[in-house]
Amino acid sequence: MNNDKKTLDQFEALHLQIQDLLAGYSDNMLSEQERMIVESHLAGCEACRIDVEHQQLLGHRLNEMLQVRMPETLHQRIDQALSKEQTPEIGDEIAKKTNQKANEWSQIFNLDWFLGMGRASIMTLSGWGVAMLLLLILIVPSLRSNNNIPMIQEVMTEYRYLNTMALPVSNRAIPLVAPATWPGSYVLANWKTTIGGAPADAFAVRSGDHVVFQYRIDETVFFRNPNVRKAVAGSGNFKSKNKNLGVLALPLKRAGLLIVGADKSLPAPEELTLRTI
Amino acid sequence: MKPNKQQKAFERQTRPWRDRLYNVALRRADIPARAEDWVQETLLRAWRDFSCLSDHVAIYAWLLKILDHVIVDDTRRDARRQQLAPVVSTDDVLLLEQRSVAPGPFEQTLQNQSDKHMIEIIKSLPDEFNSVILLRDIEGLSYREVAEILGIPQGTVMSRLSRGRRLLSTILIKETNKIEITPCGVG
Repeated sequence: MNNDKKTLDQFEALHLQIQDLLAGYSDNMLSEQERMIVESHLAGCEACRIDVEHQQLLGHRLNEMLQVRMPETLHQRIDQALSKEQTPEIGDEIAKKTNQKANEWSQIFNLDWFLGMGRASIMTLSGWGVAMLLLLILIVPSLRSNNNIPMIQEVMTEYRYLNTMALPVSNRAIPLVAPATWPGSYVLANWKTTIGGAPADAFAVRSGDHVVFQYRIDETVFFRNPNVRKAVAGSGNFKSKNKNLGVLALPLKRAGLLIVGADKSLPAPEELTLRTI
Repeated sequence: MKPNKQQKAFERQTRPWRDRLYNVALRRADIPARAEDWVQETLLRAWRDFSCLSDHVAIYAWLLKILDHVIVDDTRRDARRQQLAPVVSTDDVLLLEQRSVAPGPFEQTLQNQSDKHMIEIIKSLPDEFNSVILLRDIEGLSYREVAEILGIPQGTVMSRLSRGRRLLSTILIKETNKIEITPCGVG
């Protein structure tokens, strides 16, 4: 009686262990020794035999799945992002500017007094310094970098790219009326694009001596970033600046609006007339 | 500016894999926009590491490994990753119901599923099953490559694959049974 129970327990333990090898058996990935153990178990276990057949059928079915092509807009987006990453000049220029700024600061502050201070004073002061910095970062959201928000990066990249060449041919499917107008503005061209992975309508608009781009983008893309949400909730709009290029972001009805252009050419939010439908 | 030698080599070696990379990302993402972000981030990270890549490395497996890291980083806080993966035994009554003597009921069940629906079910599996099934059964990688990409032993790939396929079978059979017992199905 005891022997029967022991044999049953051993079978049960082997049965459980073998279940983890059944994919390997179906895919012919077992060693000769493992294969023999599994096969001798399968001879007496219908449940595992059925499982092997399921595993094989499932493997074949999944292997037949069709592949979809990557959208052309994503190819372009990746090409632009890679080209930006691969162009050392941009990074060098930023580094150069940063160094210049650092030199200016070091000239403003003569650091000799710092070297004359005692170690304890320095530690106390540096502790307070870190605390103040953290406090500033926490309470002043505008101090955090806003330029790494993907939608902002994308419109800036497209602006820089298209600004050096002829504007795209207007898309007749989109009415030639931009979402935002302001005194002296008029639409030059419009086209379809993708921002944040969602379709977007783009408009090139003359503003005085400059051309700015407007993007009507998907609402979920617009509100994806917490800094944008917070700024829009607080002041009704969100602003970002990188070098001389600025982006003004405003919510529309069931969409978002990004206006990108030379910082000085961007209209003030209060002079805008928005088409919300 | 003309692309340099390294940029050209990167372009030549990675561009052919973009579509497949996108498919893997799409099958793991909740929305296409997230898959697009993952692919872009993968290729940017790949470019940064490209100069350190040795010649014998299989590019596609290397890209998939980066993609997996990107996904893990992005979904670290996803509660689904924390859930315990259920283990279904071969003795499960449901599995025994559909004995598959080809062309049997289980094969029929599989043929009746659209690719889209199959992907939805695979996405709903715990990540440890979902990733091995995608890489092995859909992408057709070897156990060794899957193990390398996910950073797990080959034996773990095998056990996760066994359990994952079993769980997938159970879900498919359960769904089929549900459809069969609805009044419309009976009528």
